[in-house]
Amino acid sequence: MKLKQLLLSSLVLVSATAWADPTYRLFVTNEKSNTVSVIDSRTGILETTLEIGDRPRGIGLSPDQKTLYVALSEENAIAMVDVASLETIGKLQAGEDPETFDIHPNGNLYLSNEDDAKATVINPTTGKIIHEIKVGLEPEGVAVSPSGDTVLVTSESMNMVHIIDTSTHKIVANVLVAARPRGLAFNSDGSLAYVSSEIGNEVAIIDMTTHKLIKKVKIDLEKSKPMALVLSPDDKVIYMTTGRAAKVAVLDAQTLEIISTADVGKRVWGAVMSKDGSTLYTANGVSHSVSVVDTATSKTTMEIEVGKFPWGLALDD
Amino acid sequence: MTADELVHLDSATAILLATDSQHILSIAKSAQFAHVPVFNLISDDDALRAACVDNLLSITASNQMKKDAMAQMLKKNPESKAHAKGWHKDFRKFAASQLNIRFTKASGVIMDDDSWAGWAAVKLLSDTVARTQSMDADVMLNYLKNDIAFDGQKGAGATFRDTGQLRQLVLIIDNNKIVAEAPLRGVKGGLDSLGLKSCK
Repeated sequence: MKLKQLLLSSLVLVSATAWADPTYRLFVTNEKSNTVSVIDSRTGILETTLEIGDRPRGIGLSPDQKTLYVALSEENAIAMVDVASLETIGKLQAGEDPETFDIHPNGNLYLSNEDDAKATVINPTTGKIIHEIKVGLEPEGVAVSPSGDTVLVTSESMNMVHIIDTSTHKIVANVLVAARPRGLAFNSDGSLAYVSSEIGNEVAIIDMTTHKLIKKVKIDLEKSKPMALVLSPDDKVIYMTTGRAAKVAVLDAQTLEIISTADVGKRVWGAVMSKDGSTLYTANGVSHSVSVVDTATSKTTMEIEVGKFPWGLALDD
Repeated sequence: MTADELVHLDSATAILLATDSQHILSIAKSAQFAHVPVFNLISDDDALRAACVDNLLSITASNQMKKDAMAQMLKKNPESKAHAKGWHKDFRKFAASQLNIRFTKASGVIMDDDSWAGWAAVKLLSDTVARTQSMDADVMLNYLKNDIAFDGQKGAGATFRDTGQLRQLVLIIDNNKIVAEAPLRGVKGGLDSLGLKSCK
């Protein structure tokens, strides 16, 4: 009897592990098609297109990677999709005009409400908004630190990065950066944060211990409008999308100098990197495509057609 | 406060004026406020720009800027019956749509040229205080005239000319719709193709 139980529980364990195997699906929000493109990242082939809701923008995966979240800006909601079955599970009320969000290690969603100058914290398990935090005008980028202790929100209109303590949900510091801050990224131990400024055409580093700006560098690239930032897994390199410049700029994470660039589609916005750091995927708004960049060579190896105005990406790998 | 009551002030950090050009000029040129940034919010009188008063900052587009914008439009389309404006409720680029939405939500009216200029002046001041960490009128005036790269939701990093005019694009409106933005594509000189370029 005991043996049977043991066997049964180990069977359950095995199947649970199998369930959590990655699907290697790449999900892309198409802002003007109201869809999510589902691509097999191993082949680059479009698997299917999901009708998701009005004006999908921000996109991300739950910590267990079983649930995909999609911000529906015109529906004031976050759609939840089962990553394995691709069924829509439900929608979370998200406050007005949700745009970008990040996911805390505990599963809670931190999102920016652009028109309401606030950040909203949602528990997706209960579907409840558990906190609203007043921030500067036109909040845009959101990033939760690796430990979950801190969340950063950029205010595009006030040129600030708000540093918020997640235990109190209070702003503990505001860091002034160049005009129209957008993208945010942490290094792997959370000691440094990187911020891009779209109009200021700058990238800056914030020391997360002192909450001070320790470095800022102008981006010397024609037509560049710095947008999304992605750090390599070894923290050595930053990949930055540049909007109208139609390039990914590869920066040395220490000096912020441009090491190389990769040509991608027009009006490149969102970006996501594979966990092994070998591949970067970008959403090219005006080209209606996703570029696949080999990070070893900084070359685009594939361009995949998606819906209209692709905005952001999430990868289940 | 009326323009005439200003003389009773002990000191001022900045003065925002929505009045006629004579009043604006006399206040900006008065010895009392010689080092104080004086903002002209609504007068498009070219004389205020040509006067080249060091502490006078004109936010709204000048009459000449709008005339030059229309000349550029007519060169491309001689039949055009459009007119030029500084702002429009349907302007969307540079996150202008967010500003329009926010303004209407807060005030209950649509944003027009005058309300944009009022908003822009207050944002110029708050940006200046945030960057300089100073409320000193001299420091603020220097920063405004020489260092600011202002995000007025009308394009990248706006600056002031030595005439005190804020460089900005002008919208061409036909039948209450935006039909073009000046400087029109292909026109030499960029934003300085509109209005009096310099005091020099």
